Amino acid sequence: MNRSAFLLAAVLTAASASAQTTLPAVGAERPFAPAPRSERTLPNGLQIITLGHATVPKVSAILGIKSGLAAEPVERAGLAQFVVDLAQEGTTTKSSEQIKRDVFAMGASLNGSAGQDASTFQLRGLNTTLPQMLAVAADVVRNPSFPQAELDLLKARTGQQLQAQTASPQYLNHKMFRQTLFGSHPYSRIGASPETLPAIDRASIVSYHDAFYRPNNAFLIVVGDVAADAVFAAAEKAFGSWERRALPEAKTVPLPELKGRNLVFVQRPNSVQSSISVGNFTPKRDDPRWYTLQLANQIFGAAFDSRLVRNIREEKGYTYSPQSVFQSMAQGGLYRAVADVRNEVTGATLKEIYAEIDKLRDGGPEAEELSDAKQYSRGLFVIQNASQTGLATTLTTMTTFNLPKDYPETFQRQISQPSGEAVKTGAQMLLGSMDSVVAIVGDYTKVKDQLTGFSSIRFFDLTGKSIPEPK
Amino acid sequence: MRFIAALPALLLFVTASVPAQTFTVAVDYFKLDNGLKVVVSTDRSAPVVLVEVIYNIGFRVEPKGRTGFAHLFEHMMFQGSANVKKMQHVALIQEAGGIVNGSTRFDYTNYFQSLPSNGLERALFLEADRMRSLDVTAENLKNQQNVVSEEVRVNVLNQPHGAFDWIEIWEKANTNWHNAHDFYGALQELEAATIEDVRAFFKTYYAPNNAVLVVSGDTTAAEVRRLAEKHFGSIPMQPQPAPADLSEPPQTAPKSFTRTDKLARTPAIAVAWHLPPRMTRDFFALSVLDPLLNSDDSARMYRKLVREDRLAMSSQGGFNFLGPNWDMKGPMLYTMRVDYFNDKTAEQVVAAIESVLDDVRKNGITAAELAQAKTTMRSSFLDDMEAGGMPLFGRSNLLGVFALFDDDPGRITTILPELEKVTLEDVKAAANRWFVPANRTSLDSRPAAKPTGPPADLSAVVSTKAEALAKVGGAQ
Repeated sequence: MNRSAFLLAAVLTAASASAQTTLPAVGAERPFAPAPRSERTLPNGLQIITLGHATVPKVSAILGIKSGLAAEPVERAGLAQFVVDLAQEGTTTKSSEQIKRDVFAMGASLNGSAGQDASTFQLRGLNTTLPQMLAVAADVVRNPSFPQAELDLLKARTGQQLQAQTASPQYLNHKMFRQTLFGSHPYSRIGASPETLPAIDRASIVSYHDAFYRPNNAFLIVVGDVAADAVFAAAEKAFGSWERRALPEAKTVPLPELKGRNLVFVQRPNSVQSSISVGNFTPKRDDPRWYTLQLANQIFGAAFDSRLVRNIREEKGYTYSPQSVFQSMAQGGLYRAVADVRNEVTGATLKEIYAEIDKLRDGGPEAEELSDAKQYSRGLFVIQNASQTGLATTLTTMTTFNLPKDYPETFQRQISQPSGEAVKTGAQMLLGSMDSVVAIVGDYTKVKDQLTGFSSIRFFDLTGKSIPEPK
Repeated sequence: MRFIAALPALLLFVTASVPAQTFTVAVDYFKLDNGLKVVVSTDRSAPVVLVEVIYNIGFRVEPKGRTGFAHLFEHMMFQGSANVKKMQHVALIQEAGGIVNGSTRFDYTNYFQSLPSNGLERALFLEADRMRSLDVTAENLKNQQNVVSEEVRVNVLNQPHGAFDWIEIWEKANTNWHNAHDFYGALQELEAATIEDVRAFFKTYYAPNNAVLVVSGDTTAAEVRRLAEKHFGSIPMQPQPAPADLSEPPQTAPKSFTRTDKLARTPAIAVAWHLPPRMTRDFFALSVLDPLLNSDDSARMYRKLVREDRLAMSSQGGFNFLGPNWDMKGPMLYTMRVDYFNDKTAEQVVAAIESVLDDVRKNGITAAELAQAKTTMRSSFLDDMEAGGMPLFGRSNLLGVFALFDDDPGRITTILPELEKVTLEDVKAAANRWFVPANRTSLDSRPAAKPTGPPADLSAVVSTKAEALAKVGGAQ
């Protein structure tokens, strides 16, 4: 098409209509109605939940063990992740390479991760291969041989990985924040460390597996283009003969007390930014006040359009990706506001974060802000549960934290209920001001003049060793 | 001129060892009088829609002396238009229960929102308003220059190894400035951008006749047509400049580079090969080979570098670090990143990589591997059709880029059949043309501080024989 044709078209269209200048209203919300779930508990105690969702001819399956990092001995921190990883590196009948080849051959993926309260094996594949996928999962969790040679390789790689991670400001910040907040509580750990790595031996892996990898401590979630009868049949075949056993007594450790503003600084020479966390404890996941905290979090900084982002990104330009993280676990939770900022505005950022915290704690949300946050949360729930894996993740959360069975059906109603006063109270619980932890990873020599508001600062090097004030 | 090409329902199925399912991608395609291409993919599986506008301008084609400008401009699109104030686009989508973002890629820039379908018209109004009337102030430009500078710092300047494996390797492997400059931008060039630069870029590239609107999900073609006419129909078209010359001369000898990193504590190497032009026979052949080389722990590179030779902590690689193989138009690089042990060398890593490739060049792959790779590609394609970060995003983005590049969104349905056609001979021949030393560039990134030696446990592993790993199971 030549240029004159373009111009002619432009003139014609410009004359034919004018632009709408008013915002179209949003239509009536359509109710969120997931397909009904089918549940069955096998005689050995394995809890199975399945749901048909035929977006594409695929299926997501999550095999969960209701024990994770919090169940490991403190001197072997990271053990639960080693059990998950090494279980995939050999069983009584298959080598590591055979397991991985079997998964690849059917166009599937298998990933494992150990969280604080649960260890999960996540499978994703074509719906026609569900029985084979479950067979692989069952072999891995029931019959791992934990080969010593594979353990040696995994430990060598983990050792190098831990060294590589000491160069990452975000990793260091997360690690230091958790340690400072949780202290001796098991939630202080995020995986292996150079100190605990040598203690993770085969015997401890076998022992953890033997104690916790039991059907009466496990669940299976299957969501996809599959029928419940076929899921139950495949699950029965793969897991039916898994032997149940009494579990070790679950230990709940009380959270330590948090007093004052605790600033810890990881000295990282050559940093061009300060990586900052500010946060505190929050209630456990099944606390009924969770919805009010969730709304307070959206309003404060979790949403793109939220108070913290508007302030330190869109008004001040201090940072690219401020984040407001609210993580609830079985025994308690954490709140963390995170921002990576250029060295010169480190102190100014801390000032703004605390100003926003105090403002929401003292004043609560505006009425419109609250109704917007509710509608956003309702929509986000629909979006998060539109995919097979999204729904499977929601069901995994429900099962891990013993949420009510009608959680998906009642979420919309529950999140719509809290009053402004309730969310203000929620904000006071979510956001610590006078009692909080501040972790900074950066070059102290370039920012120290900006940290005058803190009575004492503890310093650490990249490996986590305590050091004197850097000069 | 106007037309509707409602493609018949195309069945995607292939024969392989895992029986194939049928899956239909609904595609409706039409154009408005002002040249705006519109693609609709109805899918009622959830009450959500994905609304995306894709502009035919990526970071290869940004003004010289203004590296990073295409991406900076993407940020400016959230800074307000005639009827929508700064950041109100985000707020208004959130109010409708949705999420929104944008991204700058090699050959396009996209803006997208996922939201409950009752907010469809609002999303279209917001996208139309900024396409018609972006309104940028000097203050907002300064603010976003600061934000983008922090983005570059957090993602590049303050990270160990910076962007050596996804930006610097492009600068080293390529010779045409369009393919060989810093796409994220040097800080001083980002700061040099003026409001006039922003206005000129907007007027030229952000025109309806240089864009595609994609709507997927809980809607119909008729509804989208009516709303697209209403909101986008009167936006004037703009003359377009001649396309930039992106061609890259063939590489004739291996290139290797080193860099020293002040922040890294362990070494890593990036290795790249120029890829054949998109959607050619060799391109599909290498797309089938890719998962066999680098998909997961079953892949040949992982087995060789991590397991057999114990050189590396991790190894990864692929066609496109920003998306699927199919969404680039200009010259592409196949790129690997290997994080290797402190006591090993880049030469050892490259030699091991070459031995894997040499095997493929000499012996090709097996029939079983070919079938498995095709099954894997089919499976991951279905994931793209379902989600991809947010519901229906992968599908919408592919439909959009095919409309943009080829004026044919239905091309999405040809990907799996083209992959299915690939033969053992095709893979071997393509490997011999492209995965050869003369076509290779490597960039070794070493910590400035002397590495502190191998981790304590490594010595034990090095002495462990490889056969022990191959042994089948058995408690030890």
